[in-house]
Amino acid sequence: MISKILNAVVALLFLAVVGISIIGTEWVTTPLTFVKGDSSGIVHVGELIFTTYVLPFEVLSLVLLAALIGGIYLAKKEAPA
Amino acid sequence: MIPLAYYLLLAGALFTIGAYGIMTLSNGIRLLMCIELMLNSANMNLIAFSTHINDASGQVFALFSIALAAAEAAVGFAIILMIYRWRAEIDIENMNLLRW
Repeated sequence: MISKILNAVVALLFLAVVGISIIGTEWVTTPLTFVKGDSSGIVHVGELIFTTYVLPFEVLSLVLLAALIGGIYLAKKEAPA
Repeated sequence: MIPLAYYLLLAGALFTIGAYGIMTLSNGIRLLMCIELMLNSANMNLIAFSTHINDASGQVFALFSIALAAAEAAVGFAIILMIYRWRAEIDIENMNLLRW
């Protein structure tokens, strides 16, 4: 019980440090331009994925395949010996 | 337009909730849920900064990060399934085999 209170104090102190530093900073905002004629900008994001970031995209497919195979291997039932 | 600080404060609050959950957890499923919360707060930071510097790369990174979180959750649930078959419990307080 006492450790839960201590954990809550630590978490709230972390939130206070992060929040005060966020509030105390002057954020400079540049106006959005890549959403012109495309209210969510999803067309631009799609173009970026398939042009600039096409290599990470392909590597990501291999990572997902590896995670799939690893998950199936770990979770499958052992053959009855 | 919503100011950037609001997004960052929301992300910080989400991260704090996730960190508190990880500090007080005793359940393996809760561990994975809290890790997802912390990952999503980082994604929210990526997207907020991406729109505020007018560069869509952050949104692409957020998409990659979501896909990696899916892979991490799949492997994590498989590991927890193995632990359950081995010990018939998923209380990670008793999982001290890899602890010093």
